[in-house]
Parts: sequence; C-alpha cells; structure tokens
Amino acid sequence: MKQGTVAKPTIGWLRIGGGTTERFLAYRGELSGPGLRVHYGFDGWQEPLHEMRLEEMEPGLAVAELPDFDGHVALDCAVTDGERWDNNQQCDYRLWVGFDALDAHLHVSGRGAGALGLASLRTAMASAGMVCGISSWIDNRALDRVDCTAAKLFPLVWIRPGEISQAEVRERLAAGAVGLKLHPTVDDYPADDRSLDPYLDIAAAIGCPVACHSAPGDADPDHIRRLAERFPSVPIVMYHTYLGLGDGRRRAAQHVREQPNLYLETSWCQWRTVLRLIEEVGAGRVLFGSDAAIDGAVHYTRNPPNVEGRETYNDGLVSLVRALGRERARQVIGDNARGLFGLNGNSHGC
Amino acid sequence: MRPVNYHRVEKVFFDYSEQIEGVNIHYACTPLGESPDWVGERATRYLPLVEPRLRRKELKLPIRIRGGIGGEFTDRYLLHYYFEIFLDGDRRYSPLYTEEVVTGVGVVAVADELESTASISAVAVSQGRAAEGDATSDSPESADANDTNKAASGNTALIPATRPPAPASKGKP
Repeated sequence: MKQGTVAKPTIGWLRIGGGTTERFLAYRGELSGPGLRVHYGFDGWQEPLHEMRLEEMEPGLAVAELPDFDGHVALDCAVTDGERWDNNQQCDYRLWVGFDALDAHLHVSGRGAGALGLASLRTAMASAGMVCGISSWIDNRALDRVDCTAAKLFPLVWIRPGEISQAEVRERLAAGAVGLKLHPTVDDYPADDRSLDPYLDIAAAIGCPVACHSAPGDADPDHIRRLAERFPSVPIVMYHTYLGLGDGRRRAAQHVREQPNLYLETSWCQWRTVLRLIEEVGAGRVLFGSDAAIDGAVHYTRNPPNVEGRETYNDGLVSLVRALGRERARQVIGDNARGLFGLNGNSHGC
Repeated sequence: MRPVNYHRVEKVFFDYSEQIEGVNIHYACTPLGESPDWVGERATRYLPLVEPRLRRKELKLPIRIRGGIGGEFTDRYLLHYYFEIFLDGDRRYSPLYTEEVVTGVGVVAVADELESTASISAVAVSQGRAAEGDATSDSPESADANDTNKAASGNTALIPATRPPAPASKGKP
C-alpha cells in the first residue's frame, strides 16, 4: 500500500510538542484573511452559537482561542472569511473534547471521487471528529491505491479463503496492515470454517486481531465464537454486534462475556444499545465503529437518520459520551482499538 | 446443521472498466409470477476475479421453494438478481434480471418437505441490516452494465428484465 506523510486535519486542536491544547482550535483550510472566524456550537449545534476570530499564525495556519467548554463533550463548527464558508462540504466539522476519536470500522474503495472514495470518507470523518480509523475493502488491490498513512487509515487484509495466499497476507501485514477482515456472508463461508485456519495461524503468530462481520447465517456469533475458541490468542472483533433481528446481539454479548478474546463493535447500533452492551460486557470489550462511509460524506450526519432509521451517528455519539463519561468514552471510541490493533496505545497522536 | 442440498447456478461478470473496485450480486428467489421482497429476502455475494476482468460466482440456490400450486414445495421458481458495481468510488447497478430455475428434484407436499432435515429455506439468508428496517434509500445509478454481464447459467431462461428497486441496504462490503 502507499505510504506518505500524515496529513494535518483541516480543523483540529492545536498540538504543541507532543500534547494537545484544547483551548486552541487550529484551522488549515482553504480560507484565509483578516476576516477569518470560526462559527461554533456544542454537542450537536446546541444554542447558543458562538463566533471567534481566527488569527493567522503562519501561512496556512490560523488559530482561535476558545473559552471554557463548560462540560460540553463536542464542538461543532464551520469557518467563514466573511464572504465564503468552509463547512466541510456542508457536513460541518466536529472536534471531541478530551479525547481523539477513532472509528474501528471504515471502508474506502480507492481514490475515486464517488461516495465510497477517499475524499468522501475524509469529509465524513471530519464531520464526526474521527481523527483516524481502521479500514478495509472487498478487494485489497483497490485499497492499495490509497495512501493510508496520509489519510490516517489503518488497513485490514480482506481474507477470502482459497483466493488470497498466505504469502500475500504476510506481505500485507508486513507492509502496514493491522489485522485481518472476514466477511462470511458475502464471501459465502461459515465463520468457523476450517479453511480460515491458515490465516488465523498467521494472525496468532504475528499477534494481530481479526475483524469479522456478524449477522444471521454464516456470520452468526455462534460460528464466530467457535473460531475464537480455536484461536484463543487471537482477538476477534464482531463487527456490527450482529446485523439482524432476533436474539443475535444478546448471544454476541454473552459470547464476549464467556470468551476472553472476543470483542464487540457497534456499527448500526443505536447509542442506547451501545450503552447496554457496554454495561453487559464492560467498556474494555467494546469498540465504536460506524461502517463509514458506506452512506457517503454524510455518513455520520445523514438525514433521514441512518442508524436503524432513528438517529444519526453524530447525535448518538454525543448522548453516548455524556452517558459514559470521558474516561469510558475514550476507551470505547478509540483506545480499545488502539490497544487491540497495536496502534499507539493511547488516545493521542494517531 | 448446514444444508448440503443446493441447486448451483453460476453467474459471471465481465469488468467493463479497469476502474471497477468490486462487484456484488444481489439475488432472491420467488414463486413463478411473483416479485421479490428485496428488503427481507435478498442475499448478497461478492464476485471474485477468476481471470483478468472476469468474475465468477456459484450461487447456492434452494432445491425447492414453497409456493407451487396448492402451496407445495416446488422445484420450479424464479431467480431475480442484479449486480452492484463499485466503480471509481461510486455504486452502480445493473438492470434486474429474472430467470426461471428448474432444479429437477420434483414437487413435494408441504408435510413431506417439512419433515425433510435437508430442506432449505425458501430464500437464502437475508442481509441483517435490511431486516432491521433501515431507512436508507439511495437510488440506483444508471444501469450501464455490459450485456456480457447478463446471466450465464445452466437450465435457466431469461425473462425480460425490469429495473431493480432501490436497495434498502447497500450491500455492505
């Protein structure tokens, strides 16, 4: 895969040395000039809204010092120079207060300009304050065309038993992939199929996790648990925590309670469901993920809402972070994935 | 126990552009003359590249579905399918194809079929997100699949195609 220089976000907290200064908002976008201002609100644009002048520190960098956040968890914003607006392709920008959010379940099909391409994913991530994420695509070669480092994406190797060689898996992991991805449903095999064993052996030897789609049928949590039992040293993340009706989520949570190398990921779960899952299995066993940007640039903000037709990711995350408190939120929306996938173990810097 | 009795139908797709980043096939089976409930009954499979620009997938279809005259399980039914093409970051959809399938195993009464441990659900496993009543409604792009990408299957006959409905879920990769 391509590897370049990490791109600085258009909007982020100003980093001084190795730390983050959350009083200072840094803007590196296309607007400039003496009239530059950040227009912002908290926790999903709650009233009252505010504006603050952005001062140019150097070419391409303007900074605003913001007042106390008064217990708010997220800042939503857009920038104007008095004539034009930079509102992140009409999706706005978001920054989380107190932690750097990571999305453990992303997809990007390549550099194309469409909804599944890199530009769309970048816009989506900026709209939700996701500073980085773990990404995969059904064809590994398509992801090869993406500069994952610059995009702050950590790729997974898509495993299609019998099609991808063990040598290629090893090569991709050596080149920067952080784990394996299984999708038993679209690739038509049971999640505990023996044909997976050579790939899981590699994961066990290298010490990387496996992310597995979970849903009715071949991707049922019962199958995934049997795979986890065969490879107890390999962390296995159940993507979606069962994408379907019935008792699948309950069984998935029960398996996580009983099988120490299983984890839950929360894409397409409403925030109250996520909270319940965290209460059932513990904050250390749940990873936030969204499946972005399957719905394109508006993935986290879509109207009508796309999470079970009832809420947006951005709205649900504010409620979830408030309910969890900052420490548990930092675990679920970042540090658990960082630790599991061996990123850098803490909530800053990736 | 995993069912072992399938009727296998092979589908192929020719990559008409080098910018294709993946192809899925969505399908559902219905009794003759009926339209599928795509939200509840659709199955999705990835079509792997087996040769340069040629994708192939063997679908495992039921040997019988319920819905014959009198409600018995019949070996003659319709297969509805369309391709989802990921091209340059966008999704495109082929026309909807419908063809008659005759598996040749005969018709059985409901009671006999229900007793059979090898009986297979009338439809393949549905996709979970769709079953959750997802409200997403992205419209299919223009259907620009090459005619090469019509079915290449066994004992099936093409029936005039209609456009696919807007999928309620989007065939998550």
